[in-house]
Amino acid sequence: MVDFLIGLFLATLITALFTSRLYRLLFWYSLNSLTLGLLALVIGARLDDRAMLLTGAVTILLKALAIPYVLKVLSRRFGLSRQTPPGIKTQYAIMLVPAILVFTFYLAEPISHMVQGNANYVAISISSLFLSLLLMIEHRNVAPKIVGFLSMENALFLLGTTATGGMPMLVELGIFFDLLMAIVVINLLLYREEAEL
Amino acid sequence: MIGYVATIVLLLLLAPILLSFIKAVKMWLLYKRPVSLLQGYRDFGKLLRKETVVSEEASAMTRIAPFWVLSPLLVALFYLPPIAKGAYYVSFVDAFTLTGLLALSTFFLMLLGLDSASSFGGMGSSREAFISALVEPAMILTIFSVSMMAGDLGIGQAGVNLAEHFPREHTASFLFAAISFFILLIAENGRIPVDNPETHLELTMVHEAMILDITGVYLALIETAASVKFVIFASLFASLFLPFGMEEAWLPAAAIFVGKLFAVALAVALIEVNTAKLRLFKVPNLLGIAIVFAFLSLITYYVLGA
Amino acid sequence: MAFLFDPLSVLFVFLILLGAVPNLFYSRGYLSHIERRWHYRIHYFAFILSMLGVVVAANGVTFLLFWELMSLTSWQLILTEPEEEGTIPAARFYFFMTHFGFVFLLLFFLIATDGDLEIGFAQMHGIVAHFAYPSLLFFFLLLGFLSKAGAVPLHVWLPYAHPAAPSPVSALMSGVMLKIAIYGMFRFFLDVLYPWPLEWGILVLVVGALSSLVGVLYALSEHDIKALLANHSIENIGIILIGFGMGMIFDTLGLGILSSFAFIAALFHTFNHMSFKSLLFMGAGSVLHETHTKNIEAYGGLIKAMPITAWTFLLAAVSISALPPTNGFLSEWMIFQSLLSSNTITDMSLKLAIPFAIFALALTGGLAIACFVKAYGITFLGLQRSANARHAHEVNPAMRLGMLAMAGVVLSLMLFAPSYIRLFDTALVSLGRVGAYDAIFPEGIWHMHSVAINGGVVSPLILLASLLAVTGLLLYAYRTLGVKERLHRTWACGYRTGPRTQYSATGFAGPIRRFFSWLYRPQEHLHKEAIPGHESKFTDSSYEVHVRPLFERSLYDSVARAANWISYWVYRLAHFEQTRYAAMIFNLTLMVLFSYRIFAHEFSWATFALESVVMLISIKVLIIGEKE
Repeated sequence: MVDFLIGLFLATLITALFTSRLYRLLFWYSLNSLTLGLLALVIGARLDDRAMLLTGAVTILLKALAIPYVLKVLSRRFGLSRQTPPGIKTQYAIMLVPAILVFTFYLAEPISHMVQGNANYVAISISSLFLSLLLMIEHRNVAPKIVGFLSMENALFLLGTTATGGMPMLVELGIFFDLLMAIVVINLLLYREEAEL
Repeated sequence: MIGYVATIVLLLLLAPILLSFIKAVKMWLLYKRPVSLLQGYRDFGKLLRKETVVSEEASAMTRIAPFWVLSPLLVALFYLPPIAKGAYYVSFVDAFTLTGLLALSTFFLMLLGLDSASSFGGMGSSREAFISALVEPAMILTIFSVSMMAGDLGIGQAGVNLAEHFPREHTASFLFAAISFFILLIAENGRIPVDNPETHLELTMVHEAMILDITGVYLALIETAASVKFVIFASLFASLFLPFGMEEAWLPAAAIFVGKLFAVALAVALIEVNTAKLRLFKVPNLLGIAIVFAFLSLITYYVLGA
Repeated sequence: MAFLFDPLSVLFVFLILLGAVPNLFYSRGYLSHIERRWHYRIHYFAFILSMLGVVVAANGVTFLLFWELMSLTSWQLILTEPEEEGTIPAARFYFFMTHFGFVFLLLFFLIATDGDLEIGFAQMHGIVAHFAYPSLLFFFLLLGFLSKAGAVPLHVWLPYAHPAAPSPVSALMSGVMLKIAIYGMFRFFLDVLYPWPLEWGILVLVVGALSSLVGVLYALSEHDIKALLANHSIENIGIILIGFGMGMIFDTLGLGILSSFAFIAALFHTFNHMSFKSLLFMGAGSVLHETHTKNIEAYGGLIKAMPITAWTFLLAAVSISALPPTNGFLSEWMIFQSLLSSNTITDMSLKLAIPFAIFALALTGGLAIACFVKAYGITFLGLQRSANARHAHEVNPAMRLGMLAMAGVVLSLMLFAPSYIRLFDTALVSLGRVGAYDAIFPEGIWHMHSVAINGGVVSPLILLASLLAVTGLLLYAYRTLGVKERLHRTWACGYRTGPRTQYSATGFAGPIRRFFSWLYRPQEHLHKEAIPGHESKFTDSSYEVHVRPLFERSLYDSVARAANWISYWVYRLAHFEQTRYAAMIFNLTLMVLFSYRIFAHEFSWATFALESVVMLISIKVLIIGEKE
């Protein structure tokens, strides 16, 4: 089950890399967060960890529902362009994405020996970190960059959940607050941009 | 052995029904009166009764190619995984042979398009060549990845192995392979995001453009080939990626299998209703996703063992 | 002069005869097309004899002699029709490339025989085993043979030399001569330069994967039918090298039987490529003979006038596209299986590299299909695109016989694959490999097994029989149905069709060219005569697109420019600044002495560093001097 969800996580992220519409991108992000939340729930249930269960639930509520919705509203309010063509051509992306994956799998091999449990999760989370960076790089518009940032956060969360068997609750909360702050900051930024226009 | 022959007959009989089913679901969702599920048979019968009109410019290729379009697909039907445990099946034919047979059929279809000297035929062939060149690597990578997870390169044996002990530790790469294969199913059968089988609009035609000047029995052969191809892909998806329900006796197992086929057809129909056809030069984006997932599946299995 | 006739040599003698005998008939028919007949005859037979000489040579001097004779005769054969535009530059290019390779072969032999070129291969193995830098020998061999075989990046001469030669010669050069280089690899890697480190195998694999992709991509963008086929030779040499590289890798890892399997796959593909590529070149030659043009855009509809050419060409096209149940499919299947049997390897870098090779091979297969649909469809189907094509007839009986005989060779490779594989197996066993025949055909000749655990199985004969049976049944059903048939002009949605409304080869490859435009970087010329006042209406328009190979543009042109610059600089020194010129000679002598010291004695970093410091100082002081 965990394998399946992790696979889905990576799959949604890669699909997001190839999308050229903003709402579609938000949809994939939301699915991405959903799988992450489900993953936390599954692992939490297995470890019988209340905190983990809670984090999972909050993740689903916040990241899979609230943030995409807020972003959608924001983008509509500020009239952000809904066309977000990737700056990297598909031909290159087809080669680049496997190359990144192969490379990170290769690099993560020594790291994964240090972790107990299934070592491959580390490799997948690190590669999804790189993929979200790629998502930020390949777009010029603001909105996909934000989504890239958010999915990078997801990748970190994945690393925390799977590799360490759950981060301390405090760290989780910190990350969530960070995230909220980020949203607020983004909101402000967009306001400023609008004011300048 | 009886089960084996019965399966093939069943698949052949189901082939036109599945395509009609997709059409019916689409029409129903669009508030039209759905076509009958037997429409495929009616068309087939009608085409058999008609006289054949052959283009003056065409060569002997037009008279022989339709047979070569259909026969590799019919041969491929014999090599599919069994639908019930204990039934006879051809265990050894591997993915490369199967994709080769499909490619052989496409090869002659493309030649057929070029034979009638119409610009539409050339256009269709050119586009089909483009799409199938990109489909080929994804297809081979995907099926090989699955058959490696199943522990046997033979497709039939792989289907049985997957049903007997599902590779739980490889769920991630299994999932990637499934996504990739579903995209390929859509692309190879010319369903909507890649090709629209229902229009004859110059800008969008791929498959229809190639067979624009084919009539009568020849057209019946090609249409049968299209439906058989869909059945091959759907049943491969059903046996390799939905591997359950094989432990039952033959009859319930067959019922489950048919259910799975209809589920695949339903999924295709839903996608068709909900998406618009892609521009030809956007198709590589979709196939690019398929290639990336196929590659990812193989790499994940190979390197991480997940 | 010394000759040996061990199974490997005999195998390649067999290959040459299989390629040359049908070619003799074809050549006899083609002779009427050639003006300098005696020139052609003499060089043609000398060419075949020299190829036979290379594969049965037993020592260095014989090998090199025949190798050089082979290069020179083929060079003269390219020059058979020197009046044709582009022939002389192509021949010059070929001459240069083949001697570029020859230099490295000569160096290899000088080192490996310790100066005594008359010793046999077994003694050479002893000398090589004691040589301190086997990698150097490996690179000499690789450069020497691959420049002949036409693998990336030494492939650029093929698309020029093959079209310039008369068609029977192109068939021989592409079908047989390239395989002599493969023979050289088998002979010297397996016999002399054994064992190999892992890196060599990986390098051969990478070169093979690159060649196969590059070859097929440039083949797709070609309009000259013979250049298209020449580019396909690059692709197929790449596929052979993938098999060879996998064999080397498996051998290093100690998987003897898998290694034999991969080598057999490479040999099988060598034979297959010989058969279908010769047939394709003969078909192209017949078309050229009748239409007097190599431009594929001027063909069309030739299947009606030239049925034998068309159907044999179709057989070869299906086979080269690796479609079942043909022989091309079987050998490519074997190469795929050997790539896939690598899942037991534990080496991480290999695990990451091999999926890329699988991907490259699969993509190559897909593109090859597209390319041969283009080549076949535009040439033989549809309407005649030019007056030349309208006046074509079937070629003379001798040429027909040649093509049919070659088609027979293709069919024999398809039908008697087990016997051929037994031959390859015997040849490999004689070189001290593990025999794989019993593992490939454990239960009779019907099923071909991959030797890996849980490997795939293919049954070519059953496949062929079932395809024929199903087609026969369908045809029978069609006959009994008794359908009425009517001829009518092409409908095409009501438009008028004509020769000029058909899709052209340029148009056919359009989508693929556009998708790979980052690699092709095509130069497009669009010319339109618009009606005054209308932007979209025009009376006349022409569209041309040319693709100049990337390697040629970047690698070769820049090398040429650098050489030019250096020679100019040396020229200036020699004529105006004799002191510095003398200083340069001094430095060169110094460098030769140093290199000899490095190579002849045990290498040590300390001497190397010391020597480079001395070199640098003397260059600085003597050549560059003080800035004025």
